[in-house]
Amino acid sequence: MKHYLYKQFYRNKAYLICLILLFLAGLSSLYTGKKFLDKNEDIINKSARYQKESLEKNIAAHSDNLGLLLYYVKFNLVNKTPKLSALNIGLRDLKPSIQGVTIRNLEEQKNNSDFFNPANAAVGNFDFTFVLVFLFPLVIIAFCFNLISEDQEKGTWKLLSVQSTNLLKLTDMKILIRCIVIIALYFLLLIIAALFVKIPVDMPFIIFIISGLLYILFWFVLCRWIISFQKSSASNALTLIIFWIGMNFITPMTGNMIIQKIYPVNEGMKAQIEQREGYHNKWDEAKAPTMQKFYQIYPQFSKYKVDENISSSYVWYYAMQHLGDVESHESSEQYHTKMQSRNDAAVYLGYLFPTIHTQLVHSQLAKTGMENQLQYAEGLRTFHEKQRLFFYPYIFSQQNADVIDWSKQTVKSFSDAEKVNLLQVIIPYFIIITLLTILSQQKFGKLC
Amino acid sequence: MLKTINLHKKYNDFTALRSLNLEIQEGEIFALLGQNGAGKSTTINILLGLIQSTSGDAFINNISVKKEPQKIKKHLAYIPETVLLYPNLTGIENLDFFSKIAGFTYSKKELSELLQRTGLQEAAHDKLLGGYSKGMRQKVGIAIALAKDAKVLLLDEPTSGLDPIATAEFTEIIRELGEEGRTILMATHDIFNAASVATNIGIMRQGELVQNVPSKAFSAEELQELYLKTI
Repeated sequence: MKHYLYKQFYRNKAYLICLILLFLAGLSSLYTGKKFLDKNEDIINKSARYQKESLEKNIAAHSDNLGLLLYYVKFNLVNKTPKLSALNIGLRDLKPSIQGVTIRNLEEQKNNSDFFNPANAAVGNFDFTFVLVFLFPLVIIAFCFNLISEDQEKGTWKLLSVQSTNLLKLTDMKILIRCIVIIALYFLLLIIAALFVKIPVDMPFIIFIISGLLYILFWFVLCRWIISFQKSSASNALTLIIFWIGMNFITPMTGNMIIQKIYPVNEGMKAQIEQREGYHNKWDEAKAPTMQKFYQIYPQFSKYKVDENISSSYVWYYAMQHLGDVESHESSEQYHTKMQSRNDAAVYLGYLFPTIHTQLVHSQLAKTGMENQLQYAEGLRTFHEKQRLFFYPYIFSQQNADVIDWSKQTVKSFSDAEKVNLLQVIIPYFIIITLLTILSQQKFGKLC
Repeated sequence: MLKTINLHKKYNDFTALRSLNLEIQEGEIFALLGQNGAGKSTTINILLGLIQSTSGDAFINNISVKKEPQKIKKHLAYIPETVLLYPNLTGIENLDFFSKIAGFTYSKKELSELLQRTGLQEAAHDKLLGGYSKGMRQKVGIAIALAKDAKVLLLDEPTSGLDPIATAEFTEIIRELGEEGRTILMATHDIFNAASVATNIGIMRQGELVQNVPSKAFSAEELQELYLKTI
């Protein structure tokens, strides 16, 4: 009997067309992801050369003035981009994967980035996660919306009801066939992705696969529940499309609005203003209070005195720069905390909506989400601080560039050490899949 | 054997079936006549377990339709007025599919023989059902019923839309099945066909069985007269 259900499936040209289109969309998304990854890797590779060239140029020009040299020189920190990010580009197209900072005021530099093409800042990328979250469900709906109603509307249902003592088993077999086909396509695309993009088969990739698989199962179980009401094909299709629109657009947009309302983030602008005033105002103030604050933070530099009457001093200059960061630190921390809260709220919302959950999980695994950006920002702060503390003694003691081993000043990498909790990934799917299965079983009890 | 005891079906204020009492023994072919809306199809749908009676019960080989609707399916076969099957499967594939879901597995030769018994030409067996005529589909429907080897057959206007030759072929098959000892209930408008093949004839009017007579007691014309007088 099963092979006839397969035959009915693959002899339906519309189904084959759907599968081909989905496959092509998947391939296209893989190409987009690979292109993104290649571009990213190219930029990162070039940055090492640019940093070296910049260093050499500035050393040549200002070797006897370390304070001036370090005013210009930028040190790059790369936010490591795993290969998996080709499947989920996330925020990586808008936020840079590499940031260069001088040892001056960090708060000012954090939000500096090159101009970008606003056309690239589209709502989401056409990456694999997009295809999985948005397009796979449409094909699943197309395959499943009329599994019972088609037989009822075409008149074969009566004969099926008389012949079969277990119509539920028949319906489930039809669903199973469609599920196998979709999952086979899913794995085919992932195999191509692994080979084409050279994604290592590590734990993040395995969890990525499992998450996608559970997402697909969710849609099949949702379809099973809707068709269990035994409404018409048109009614089922409409209901499922409404679910698709609701979960993919209305809920995320509404959720985003609510989250922004609950966690308004004004601190970004506030920090910018505070750091600006914290630094620039010091030019017009007495030097002693500035230096006192600086020495309180870094007692090890208290031996480098600044004469009140001196017109310029790199000790004073970098102390002013530093205090710009100090005075904006609280706002900066609050900004960070609120952005984290927003992200956490989105995660909790995701526990109820598999569409959101899948996107967040994928971006977390691919290190392309907000969590990674916040971690990177912290990493940049740590990196910046380390660079400052390394160069301050040389600047303050007025040494020249020759004393520093510049060969060690290479591009550094930041790696997000955040581990994904497998249970946190899987449990929300299992809950909703189980719930929908129970609901559909109750409805299927009335199946003739 | 098929039996109904005070079978009653009501839809809100409308009574589709009023206390139907019927008994059809093995080897009997019972033709149920009546106008549209008389309750013929309602009777068949209740016997098939597709709808529930409001009161009363029906028995197929002493199994209660009300209490064990799934169990009776093994004992009965059904041929609808319009046999609707899967157009993207061939005739033989449809037969095989519907046989398998009923729990019967046949070889291709056996399936072909079943189709040939109904008069379907061998050349048509492997053609997609989408290209079949109504008569050809009806024959596949008969083959599906035969394949189930059920003791009780329910036929709902089985000759509707068939040409005279196809009708004659079908009638012959029904007669053979009756002679094999099967219990057959046939709802029909075709008085002459009923008169020629049925052992007993029932006439329904407004949900009630108003006449239940042996067909041999009447000629076709007398039967027609009785029918017109009754409805």
